[in-house]
Amino acid sequence: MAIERRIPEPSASRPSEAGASSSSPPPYPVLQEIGAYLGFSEADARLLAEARPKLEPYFDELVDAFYEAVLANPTTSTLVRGDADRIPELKCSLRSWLDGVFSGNYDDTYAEQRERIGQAHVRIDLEPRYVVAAMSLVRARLQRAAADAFADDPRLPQLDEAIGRICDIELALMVDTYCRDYADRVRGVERLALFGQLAASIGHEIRNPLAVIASSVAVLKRRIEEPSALSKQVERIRRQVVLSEQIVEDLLELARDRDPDRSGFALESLVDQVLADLPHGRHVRFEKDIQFRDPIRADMGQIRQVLFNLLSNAVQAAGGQAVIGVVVTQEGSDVILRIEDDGPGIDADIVPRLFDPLFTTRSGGTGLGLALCKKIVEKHHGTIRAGNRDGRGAYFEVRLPQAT
Amino acid sequence: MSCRVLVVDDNADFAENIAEILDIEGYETHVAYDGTSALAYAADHRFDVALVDVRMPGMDGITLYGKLTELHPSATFFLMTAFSTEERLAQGLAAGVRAVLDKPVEVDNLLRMLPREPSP
Repeated sequence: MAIERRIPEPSASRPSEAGASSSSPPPYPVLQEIGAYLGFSEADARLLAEARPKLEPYFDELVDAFYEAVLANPTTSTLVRGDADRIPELKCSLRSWLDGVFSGNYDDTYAEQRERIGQAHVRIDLEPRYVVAAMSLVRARLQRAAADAFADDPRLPQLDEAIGRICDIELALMVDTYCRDYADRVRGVERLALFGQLAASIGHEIRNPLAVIASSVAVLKRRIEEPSALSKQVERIRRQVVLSEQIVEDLLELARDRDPDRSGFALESLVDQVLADLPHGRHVRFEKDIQFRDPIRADMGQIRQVLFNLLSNAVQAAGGQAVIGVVVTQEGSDVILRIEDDGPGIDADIVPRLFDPLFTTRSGGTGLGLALCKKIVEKHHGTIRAGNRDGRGAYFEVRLPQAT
Repeated sequence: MSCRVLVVDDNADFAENIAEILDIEGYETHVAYDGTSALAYAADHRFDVALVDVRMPGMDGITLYGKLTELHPSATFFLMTAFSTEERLAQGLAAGVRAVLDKPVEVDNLLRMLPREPSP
Protein backbone atom coordinates (compact mmCIF):
# COMPACT_ATOMS: atom_id res chain seq x y z
CA MET A 1 0.00 0.00 0.00
CA ALA A 2 1.54 3.30 -1.03
CA ILE A 3 1.32 6.46 1.04
CA GLU A 4 -2.31 7.51 1.23
CA ARG A 5 -4.11 8.84 -1.84
CA ARG A 6 -4.65 12.22 -0.24
CA ILE A 7 -0.99 13.06 -1.00
CA PRO A 8 -1.15 14.87 -4.39
CA GLU A 9 0.85 14.14 -7.56
CA PRO A 10 4.08 16.11 -7.84
CA SER A 11 3.43 19.77 -8.64
CA ALA A 12 5.37 23.01 -8.74
CA SER A 13 3.64 24.41 -5.74
CA ARG A 14 4.61 23.52 -2.19
CA PRO A 15 3.50 22.51 0.36
CA SER A 16 0.63 20.29 -0.64
CA GLU A 17 -2.77 20.71 0.79
CA ALA A 18 -2.71 17.26 2.31
CA GLY A 19 -4.90 17.25 5.31
CA ALA A 20 -6.19 14.28 7.12
CA SER A 21 -9.89 13.85 7.01
CA SER A 22 -9.76 10.84 9.29
CA SER A 23 -11.03 11.31 12.82
CA SER A 24 -7.86 10.08 14.57
CA PRO A 25 -4.26 11.10 13.84
CA PRO A 26 -2.15 8.56 11.91
CA PRO A 27 0.21 6.54 14.10
CA TYR A 28 3.24 7.79 12.16
CA PRO A 29 2.40 11.40 11.38
CA VAL A 30 5.91 12.26 10.21
CA LEU A 31 5.62 9.75 7.36
CA GLN A 32 2.37 11.29 6.14
CA GLU A 33 3.41 14.86 6.73
CA ILE A 34 6.84 14.75 5.12
CA GLY A 35 5.59 12.57 2.30
CA ALA A 36 2.88 15.11 1.58
CA TYR A 37 5.28 18.04 1.94
CA LEU A 38 7.69 16.52 -0.56
CA GLY A 39 4.91 15.51 -2.91
CA PHE A 40 5.79 11.82 -2.72
CA SER A 41 3.06 10.12 -4.75
CA GLU A 42 1.74 6.67 -5.55
CA ALA A 43 3.43 7.03 -8.92
CA ASP A 44 6.76 7.53 -7.12
CA ALA A 45 6.11 4.45 -5.01
CA ARG A 46 5.25 2.34 -8.07
CA LEU A 47 8.33 3.57 -9.94
CA LEU A 48 10.68 2.71 -7.08
CA ALA A 49 9.24 -0.81 -6.92
CA GLU A 50 9.55 -1.19 -10.72
CA ALA A 51 13.15 0.05 -10.64
CA ARG A 52 14.25 -2.39 -8.00
CA PRO A 53 15.22 -5.37 -10.19
CA LYS A 54 17.55 -3.19 -12.30
CA LEU A 55 19.05 -1.42 -9.26
CA GLU A 56 19.59 -4.47 -7.07
CA PRO A 57 22.88 -5.43 -8.79
CA TYR A 58 24.30 -2.12 -7.50
CA PHE A 59 23.30 -2.69 -3.87
CA ASP A 60 26.27 -4.82 -2.77
CA GLU A 61 28.77 -2.26 -4.01
CA LEU A 62 26.82 0.51 -2.27
CA VAL A 63 26.77 -1.43 1.01
CA ASP A 64 30.53 -2.11 0.81
CA ALA A 65 31.25 1.57 0.08
CA PHE A 66 28.99 2.61 2.96
CA TYR A 67 30.90 0.56 5.50
CA GLU A 68 34.25 1.56 4.08
CA ALA A 69 33.23 5.15 4.86
CA VAL A 70 32.03 4.16 8.38
CA LEU A 71 35.29 2.40 9.18
CA ALA A 72 37.41 5.20 7.71
CA ASN A 73 35.80 7.80 10.00
CA PRO A 74 37.42 8.01 13.47
CA THR A 75 34.08 8.62 15.19
CA THR A 76 31.76 6.20 13.40
CA SER A 77 34.37 3.44 13.37
CA THR A 78 34.26 3.28 17.19
CA LEU A 79 30.55 2.48 17.00
CA VAL A 80 31.28 -0.92 15.53
CA ARG A 81 33.87 -1.28 18.30
CA GLY A 82 36.50 -2.75 16.03
CA ASP A 83 34.65 -6.06 16.07
CA ALA A 84 35.06 -7.40 12.54
CA ASP A 85 32.48 -10.15 13.19
CA ARG A 86 29.67 -7.61 13.32
CA ILE A 87 30.30 -6.07 9.90
CA PRO A 88 28.61 -8.85 7.83
CA GLU A 89 25.54 -8.61 10.09
CA LEU A 90 25.45 -4.82 9.71
CA LYS A 91 25.83 -5.07 5.95
CA CYS A 92 22.91 -7.51 5.90
CA SER A 93 20.80 -4.96 7.78
CA LEU A 94 21.72 -2.20 5.35
CA ARG A 95 20.88 -4.44 2.43
CA SER A 96 17.53 -5.18 4.02
CA TRP A 97 16.96 -1.44 4.46
CA LEU A 98 17.62 -0.85 0.76
CA ASP A 99 15.08 -3.55 -0.08
CA GLY A 100 12.57 -1.61 2.00
CA VAL A 101 13.36 1.69 0.23
CA PHE A 102 12.49 0.10 -3.11
CA SER A 103 9.58 -1.99 -1.84
CA GLY A 104 6.91 0.43 -3.09
CA ASN A 105 5.16 -0.18 0.21
CA TYR A 106 5.32 2.72 2.68
CA ASP A 107 2.79 1.87 5.34
CA ASP A 108 2.87 1.94 9.14
CA THR A 109 5.01 -1.21 9.29
CA TYR A 110 7.59 0.51 7.12
CA ALA A 111 7.49 3.62 9.33
CA GLU A 112 7.82 1.51 12.47
CA GLN A 113 10.94 -0.19 11.08
CA ARG A 114 12.49 3.18 10.31
CA GLU A 115 11.61 4.42 13.78
CA ARG A 116 13.50 1.45 15.26
CA ILE A 117 16.57 2.45 13.26
CA GLY A 118 16.36 5.94 14.77
CA GLN A 119 16.10 4.41 18.24
CA ALA A 120 19.16 2.27 17.54
CA HIS A 121 21.07 5.42 16.61
CA VAL A 122 20.22 6.92 20.02
CA ARG A 123 21.34 3.73 21.78
CA ILE A 124 24.75 3.77 20.09
CA ASP A 125 25.13 7.58 20.47
CA LEU A 126 25.31 8.13 16.70
CA GLU A 127 24.85 11.87 16.27
CA PRO A 128 22.37 13.10 13.63
CA ARG A 129 25.08 14.81 11.58
CA TYR A 130 26.51 11.39 10.70
CA VAL A 131 23.04 10.10 9.79
CA VAL A 132 22.54 13.09 7.48
CA ALA A 133 25.98 12.64 5.90
CA ALA A 134 25.49 8.90 5.44
CA MET A 135 22.07 9.40 3.83
CA SER A 136 23.63 11.94 1.51
CA LEU A 137 26.19 9.35 0.39
CA VAL A 138 23.49 6.72 -0.08
CA ARG A 139 21.26 9.09 -2.06
CA ALA A 140 24.13 10.08 -4.36
CA ARG A 141 25.09 6.46 -5.01
CA LEU A 142 21.50 5.41 -5.67
CA GLN A 143 20.99 8.27 -8.10
CA ARG A 144 24.25 7.38 -9.87
CA ALA A 145 23.13 3.75 -10.07
CA ALA A 146 19.78 4.85 -11.52
CA ALA A 147 21.53 7.08 -14.06
CA ASP A 148 23.60 4.07 -15.13
CA ALA A 149 20.82 1.46 -15.18
CA PHE A 150 18.15 3.72 -16.72
CA ALA A 151 20.38 5.72 -19.05
CA ASP A 152 18.05 5.60 -22.04
CA ASP A 153 14.85 5.27 -20.08
CA PRO A 154 12.43 8.23 -20.22
CA ARG A 155 11.47 7.47 -16.60
CA LEU A 156 14.95 8.41 -15.36
CA PRO A 157 14.17 12.03 -14.35
CA GLN A 158 11.13 10.95 -12.31
CA LEU A 159 13.07 8.01 -10.83
CA ASP A 160 15.87 10.36 -9.83
CA GLU A 161 13.36 12.61 -8.04
CA ALA A 162 11.59 9.66 -6.42
CA ILE A 163 14.91 8.39 -5.04
CA GLY A 164 15.64 11.87 -3.66
CA ARG A 165 12.20 12.11 -2.03
CA ILE A 166 12.25 8.66 -0.45
CA CYS A 167 15.74 9.27 0.95
CA ASP A 168 14.51 12.55 2.45
CA ILE A 169 11.49 10.76 3.96
CA GLU A 170 13.81 8.12 5.41
CA LEU A 171 16.04 10.79 6.87
CA ALA A 172 13.10 12.69 8.35
CA LEU A 173 11.78 9.54 10.04
CA MET A 174 15.16 8.63 11.54
CA VAL A 175 16.01 12.13 12.70
CA ASP A 176 12.54 12.70 14.14
CA THR A 177 12.80 9.48 16.12
CA TYR A 178 16.30 10.40 17.24
CA CYS A 179 15.13 13.80 18.50
CA ARG A 180 12.19 12.35 20.41
CA ASP A 181 14.20 9.52 21.92
CA TYR A 182 17.06 11.84 22.78
CA ALA A 183 14.67 14.25 24.50
CA ASP A 184 13.22 11.31 26.47
CA ARG A 185 16.69 10.21 27.42
CA VAL A 186 17.68 13.70 28.58
CA ARG A 187 14.50 13.92 30.65
CA GLY A 188 15.32 10.51 32.09
CA VAL A 189 18.87 11.59 32.90
CA GLU A 190 17.61 14.79 34.54
CA ARG A 191 15.11 12.80 36.60
CA LEU A 192 17.87 10.45 37.68
CA ALA A 193 20.15 13.34 38.55
CA LEU A 194 17.43 14.89 40.70
CA PHE A 195 16.73 11.52 42.26
CA GLY A 196 20.44 11.18 42.88
CA GLN A 197 20.71 14.51 44.64
CA LEU A 198 17.64 13.78 46.74
CA ALA A 199 18.87 10.28 47.54
CA ALA A 200 22.28 11.54 48.60
CA SER A 201 20.78 14.23 50.79
CA ILE A 202 18.31 11.86 52.47
CA GLY A 203 20.92 9.16 52.83
CA HIS A 204 23.37 11.38 54.61
CA GLU A 205 20.75 12.90 56.91
CA ILE A 206 19.39 9.52 57.96
CA ARG A 207 22.83 8.37 59.04
CA ASN A 208 22.77 10.67 62.08
CA PRO A 209 19.64 9.20 63.70
CA LEU A 210 20.87 5.73 62.72
CA ALA A 211 24.12 6.48 64.53
CA VAL A 212 22.16 7.31 67.71
CA ILE A 213 20.03 4.14 67.46
CA ALA A 214 23.07 1.93 66.80
CA SER A 215 25.00 3.42 69.71
CA SER A 216 21.97 3.05 72.03
CA VAL A 217 21.78 -0.61 71.02
CA ALA A 218 25.47 -0.95 71.88
CA VAL A 219 24.79 0.61 75.33
CA LEU A 220 21.80 -1.68 75.96
CA LYS A 221 23.75 -4.79 74.99
CA ARG A 222 26.31 -3.87 77.61
CA ARG A 223 23.78 -2.90 80.29
CA ILE A 224 21.33 -5.78 79.99
CA GLU A 225 22.16 -8.62 82.30
CA GLU A 226 21.83 -11.96 80.56
CA PRO A 227 19.65 -13.90 80.33
CA SER A 228 17.06 -11.28 79.57
CA ALA A 229 13.77 -11.17 77.72
CA LEU A 230 14.90 -7.81 76.37
CA SER A 231 17.89 -9.21 74.50
CA LYS A 232 15.82 -10.52 71.61
CA GLN A 233 14.29 -7.07 71.07
CA VAL A 234 17.66 -5.36 71.28
CA GLU A 235 19.10 -7.77 68.71
CA ARG A 236 16.08 -7.17 66.49
CA ILE A 237 16.73 -3.41 66.60
CA ARG A 238 20.41 -3.98 65.84
CA ARG A 239 19.59 -6.06 62.75
CA GLN A 240 17.21 -3.43 61.45
CA VAL A 241 19.84 -0.75 61.91
CA VAL A 242 22.25 -2.85 59.83
CA LEU A 243 19.58 -3.25 57.14
CA SER A 244 18.80 0.48 57.20
CA GLU A 245 22.47 1.30 56.85
CA GLN A 246 22.69 -1.05 53.85
CA ILE A 247 19.74 0.76 52.26
CA VAL A 248 21.46 4.09 52.82
CA GLU A 249 24.72 2.76 51.38
CA ASP A 250 22.93 1.38 48.29
CA LEU A 251 21.04 4.67 47.87
CA LEU A 252 24.23 6.68 48.10
CA GLU A 253 26.04 4.37 45.70
CA LEU A 254 23.14 4.70 43.25
CA ALA A 255 23.35 8.47 43.55
CA ARG A 256 27.10 8.64 43.08
CA ASP A 257 28.30 9.16 39.55
CA ARG A 258 31.64 7.48 39.92
CA ASP A 259 33.37 6.46 36.69
CA PRO A 260 34.69 2.90 36.73
CA ASP A 261 38.36 2.40 37.40
CA ARG A 262 39.18 -0.16 34.73
CA SER A 263 42.28 -1.84 36.03
CA GLY A 264 42.61 -5.48 34.99
CA PHE A 265 41.65 -8.19 37.42
CA ALA A 266 40.83 -11.90 37.34
CA LEU A 267 37.07 -12.42 37.45
CA GLU A 268 37.37 -15.98 38.76
CA SER A 269 39.28 -14.80 41.80
CA LEU A 270 36.62 -12.14 42.47
CA VAL A 271 33.87 -14.76 42.13
CA ASP A 272 35.65 -16.91 44.73
CA GLN A 273 35.95 -13.97 47.13
CA VAL A 274 32.27 -13.07 46.81
CA LEU A 275 31.15 -16.68 47.26
CA ALA A 276 33.25 -16.88 50.42
CA ASP A 277 31.69 -13.68 51.85
CA LEU A 278 28.11 -14.40 50.81
CA PRO A 279 25.85 -15.46 53.67
CA HIS A 280 23.98 -18.61 52.68
CA GLY A 281 22.54 -21.70 54.25
CA ARG A 282 23.83 -25.23 53.82
CA HIS A 283 20.93 -25.88 51.47
CA VAL A 284 22.57 -23.78 48.77
CA ARG A 285 25.36 -25.16 46.57
CA PHE A 286 27.33 -23.09 44.07
CA GLU A 287 28.68 -24.44 40.79
CA LYS A 288 31.27 -22.46 38.87
CA ASP A 289 31.86 -22.79 35.13
CA ILE A 290 34.68 -20.39 34.27
CA GLN A 291 35.50 -20.58 30.56
CA PHE A 292 37.34 -17.23 30.36
CA ARG A 293 40.28 -16.68 32.65
CA ASP A 294 42.10 -13.64 31.23
CA PRO A 295 42.09 -10.42 33.29
CA ILE A 296 39.06 -8.27 32.52
CA ARG A 297 38.99 -4.47 32.23
CA ALA A 298 36.45 -3.25 34.76
CA ASP A 299 36.17 -1.64 38.17
CA MET A 300 36.78 -4.50 40.57
CA GLY A 301 34.92 -2.90 43.49
CA GLN A 302 31.86 -2.15 41.38
CA ILE A 303 31.76 -5.57 39.71
CA ARG A 304 32.14 -7.11 43.15
CA GLN A 305 28.98 -5.22 44.15
CA VAL A 306 27.17 -6.53 41.06
CA LEU A 307 28.24 -10.11 41.75
CA PHE A 308 27.27 -9.85 45.40
CA ASN A 309 23.83 -8.41 44.63
CA LEU A 310 23.03 -10.96 41.91
CA LEU A 311 24.20 -13.90 44.02
CA SER A 312 22.31 -12.60 47.08
CA ASN A 313 19.17 -12.44 44.97
CA ALA A 314 19.72 -15.98 43.76
CA VAL A 315 20.22 -17.22 47.34
CA GLN A 316 17.04 -15.42 48.44
CA ALA A 317 15.10 -16.99 45.57
CA ALA A 318 16.37 -20.45 46.42
CA GLY A 319 13.78 -22.61 48.16
CA GLY A 320 14.85 -25.94 49.54
CA GLN A 321 17.97 -27.60 48.16
CA ALA A 322 19.29 -25.21 45.57
CA VAL A 323 22.07 -25.06 43.03
CA ILE A 324 23.28 -21.68 41.85
CA GLY A 325 25.49 -21.55 38.78
CA VAL A 326 28.13 -18.90 38.04
CA VAL A 327 29.22 -19.00 34.40
CA VAL A 328 31.91 -16.81 32.81
CA THR A 329 32.33 -16.94 29.04
CA GLN A 330 33.52 -14.77 26.18
CA GLU A 331 31.59 -13.79 23.06
CA GLY A 332 33.43 -11.64 20.56
CA SER A 333 35.06 -8.90 22.60
CA ASP A 334 32.51 -9.15 25.42
CA VAL A 335 32.94 -11.04 28.68
CA ILE A 336 29.69 -12.58 29.83
CA LEU A 337 28.87 -13.30 33.45
CA ARG A 338 25.76 -15.38 34.01
CA ILE A 339 24.12 -16.31 37.33
CA GLU A 340 21.60 -19.14 37.13
CA ASP A 341 19.38 -20.59 39.80
CA ASP A 342 16.91 -23.46 39.91
CA GLY A 343 14.31 -21.56 41.94
CA PRO A 344 10.74 -20.74 40.95
CA GLY A 345 11.74 -18.37 38.14
CA ILE A 346 10.55 -14.80 37.54
CA ASP A 347 6.96 -13.82 36.78
CA ALA A 348 6.96 -12.66 33.13
CA ASP A 349 4.95 -9.54 34.06
CA ILE A 350 7.64 -8.20 36.34
CA VAL A 351 10.70 -8.89 34.18
CA PRO A 352 10.53 -5.44 32.49
CA ARG A 353 10.54 -3.74 35.92
CA LEU A 354 13.21 -5.79 37.64
CA PHE A 355 15.90 -3.15 37.31
CA ASP A 356 13.74 -0.16 38.27
CA PRO A 357 14.87 1.61 41.49
CA LEU A 358 12.69 0.78 44.51
CA PHE A 359 10.99 -2.15 42.76
CA THR A 360 11.03 -5.30 44.85
CA THR A 361 9.00 -8.45 45.19
CA ARG A 362 10.50 -9.46 48.52
CA SER A 363 9.27 -8.26 51.89
CA GLY A 364 12.35 -6.72 53.44
CA GLY A 365 13.85 -6.08 50.00
CA THR A 366 15.18 -2.58 49.36
CA GLY A 367 14.46 -2.48 45.63
CA LEU A 368 17.86 -0.91 45.05
CA GLY A 369 20.20 -3.86 44.52
CA LEU A 370 19.31 -4.63 40.90
CA ALA A 371 18.98 -0.93 40.00
CA LEU A 372 22.53 -0.48 41.30
CA CYS A 373 23.72 -3.49 39.25
CA LYS A 374 22.19 -1.94 36.12
CA LYS A 375 23.78 1.42 36.79
CA ILE A 376 27.23 -0.10 37.33
CA VAL A 377 27.00 -2.31 34.24
CA GLU A 378 25.82 0.58 32.06
CA LYS A 379 28.70 2.70 33.37
CA HIS A 380 30.90 -0.02 31.93
CA HIS A 381 29.00 0.34 28.60
CA GLY A 382 27.65 -3.15 29.18
CA THR A 383 24.20 -4.67 29.40
CA ILE A 384 22.33 -6.68 32.00
CA ARG A 385 19.26 -8.77 31.38
CA ALA A 386 17.20 -11.35 33.20
CA GLY A 387 14.75 -14.05 32.31
CA ASN A 388 13.66 -17.59 32.90
CA ARG A 389 15.75 -20.59 31.96
CA ASP A 390 14.46 -23.41 29.82
CA GLY A 391 13.16 -25.84 32.38
CA ARG A 392 13.36 -24.38 35.86
CA GLY A 393 14.82 -21.26 37.41
CA ALA A 394 15.96 -17.82 36.39
CA TYR A 395 19.11 -16.26 34.99
CA PHE A 396 20.79 -12.89 35.15
CA GLU A 397 23.32 -12.14 32.43
CA VAL A 398 25.87 -9.33 32.48
CA ARG A 399 27.79 -8.46 29.33
CA LEU A 400 30.96 -6.38 29.74
CA PRO A 401 32.62 -5.08 26.58
CA GLN A 402 36.38 -5.33 26.66
CA ALA A 403 37.28 -3.52 23.44
CA THR A 404 38.20 0.17 23.91
CA MET B 1 45.02 5.65 85.50
CA SER B 2 42.52 4.99 82.69
CA CYS B 3 42.90 6.07 79.12
CA ARG B 4 41.17 9.46 78.74
CA VAL B 5 38.85 10.06 75.81
CA LEU B 6 37.40 13.40 74.70
CA VAL B 7 34.20 12.99 72.65
CA VAL B 8 33.16 16.03 70.60
CA ASP B 9 29.84 15.94 68.72
CA ASP B 10 26.95 18.41 68.44
CA ASN B 11 24.55 15.44 68.47
CA ALA B 12 24.21 15.08 72.25
CA ASP B 13 22.43 11.70 72.13
CA PHE B 14 25.18 10.16 70.04
CA ALA B 15 28.02 11.74 71.98
CA GLU B 16 26.62 10.61 75.32
CA ASN B 17 25.99 7.08 74.07
CA ILE B 18 29.59 6.77 72.88
CA ALA B 19 30.82 8.14 76.20
CA GLU B 20 28.64 5.66 78.12
CA ILE B 21 29.96 2.73 76.09
CA LEU B 22 33.54 3.84 76.70
CA ASP B 23 32.81 4.28 80.44
CA ILE B 24 31.53 0.69 80.60
CA GLU B 25 34.67 -0.44 78.79
CA GLY B 26 36.86 1.23 81.40
CA TYR B 27 37.77 4.54 79.77
CA GLU B 28 37.58 7.95 81.41
CA THR B 29 35.48 10.20 79.20
CA HIS B 30 34.52 13.83 78.72
CA VAL B 31 31.88 15.09 76.27
CA ALA B 32 31.90 18.45 74.50
CA TYR B 33 29.14 19.54 72.12
CA ASP B 34 31.06 22.07 70.04
CA GLY B 35 34.58 23.16 69.15
CA THR B 36 34.72 26.11 71.52
CA SER B 37 33.90 24.11 74.65
CA ALA B 38 36.25 21.31 73.49
CA LEU B 39 39.13 23.80 73.23
CA ALA B 40 38.26 25.28 76.62
CA TYR B 41 38.43 21.79 78.16
CA ALA B 42 41.65 20.92 76.32
CA ALA B 43 43.35 24.08 77.61
CA ASP B 44 43.22 22.74 81.19
CA HIS B 45 42.98 18.95 80.81
CA ARG B 46 45.01 16.20 79.25
CA PHE B 47 43.47 13.49 77.14
CA ASP B 48 44.84 10.53 75.26
CA VAL B 49 42.24 10.08 72.54
CA ALA B 50 39.74 12.45 70.88
CA LEU B 51 36.72 11.37 68.83
CA VAL B 52 35.69 14.43 66.84
CA ASP B 53 32.62 14.83 64.64
CA VAL B 54 33.45 16.51 61.34
CA ARG B 55 30.25 18.41 60.66
CA MET B 56 29.42 20.73 63.54
CA PRO B 57 27.95 24.23 63.58
CA GLY B 58 30.56 26.92 64.10
CA MET B 59 33.97 25.26 64.11
CA ASP B 60 34.09 22.09 62.00
CA GLY B 61 35.88 18.95 63.15
CA ILE B 62 38.90 19.23 60.91
CA THR B 63 39.62 22.78 62.08
CA LEU B 64 39.11 21.70 65.71
CA TYR B 65 41.45 18.76 65.18
CA GLY B 66 44.14 21.16 63.96
CA LYS B 67 43.83 23.30 67.10
CA LEU B 68 43.60 20.35 69.53
CA THR B 69 46.66 18.66 68.10
CA GLU B 70 48.69 21.81 68.77
CA LEU B 71 47.68 21.64 72.43
CA HIS B 72 48.07 17.85 72.71
CA PRO B 73 50.43 16.57 70.01
CA SER B 74 50.77 13.10 71.53
CA ALA B 75 47.04 12.38 71.60
CA THR B 76 45.40 10.04 69.07
CA PHE B 77 42.62 11.55 66.99
CA PHE B 78 39.67 10.01 65.16
CA LEU B 79 37.20 11.88 62.99
CA MET B 80 33.58 10.74 62.73
CA THR B 81 31.19 11.66 59.94
CA ALA B 82 27.83 10.76 58.39
CA PHE B 83 28.85 12.58 55.24
CA SER B 84 31.90 10.65 54.17
CA THR B 85 33.33 11.21 50.77
CA GLU B 86 36.65 10.00 49.44
CA GLU B 87 37.82 13.58 49.37
CA ARG B 88 36.97 14.12 53.02
CA LEU B 89 38.57 10.83 53.99
CA ALA B 90 41.76 11.80 52.19
CA GLN B 91 41.66 15.25 53.79
CA GLY B 92 41.38 13.81 57.27
CA LEU B 93 44.07 11.21 56.79
CA ALA B 94 46.40 13.74 55.19
CA ALA B 95 45.92 15.96 58.23
CA GLY B 96 47.19 13.12 60.42
CA VAL B 97 44.16 11.55 62.12
CA ARG B 98 44.35 7.83 62.94
CA ALA B 99 41.10 7.05 61.09
CA VAL B 100 37.92 8.61 59.70
CA LEU B 101 34.92 6.63 60.98
CA ASP B 102 31.64 6.49 59.08
CA LYS B 103 28.49 6.95 61.11
CA PRO B 104 26.77 4.84 62.34
CA VAL B 105 30.07 3.99 64.03
CA GLU B 106 30.72 0.29 64.36
CA VAL B 107 31.43 0.19 68.11
CA ASP B 108 33.41 -3.05 68.22
CA ASN B 109 35.61 -1.76 65.42
CA LEU B 110 36.15 1.52 67.32
CA LEU B 111 37.07 -0.32 70.52
CA ARG B 112 39.64 -2.39 68.62
CA MET B 113 41.33 0.79 67.39
CA LEU B 114 41.44 2.68 70.70
CA PRO B 115 44.58 2.42 72.84
CA ARG B 116 43.95 0.80 76.26
CA GLU B 117 46.65 2.72 78.12
CA PRO B 118 47.16 6.46 78.57
CA SER B 119 49.82 8.00 76.35
CA PRO B 120 53.13 8.69 78.08
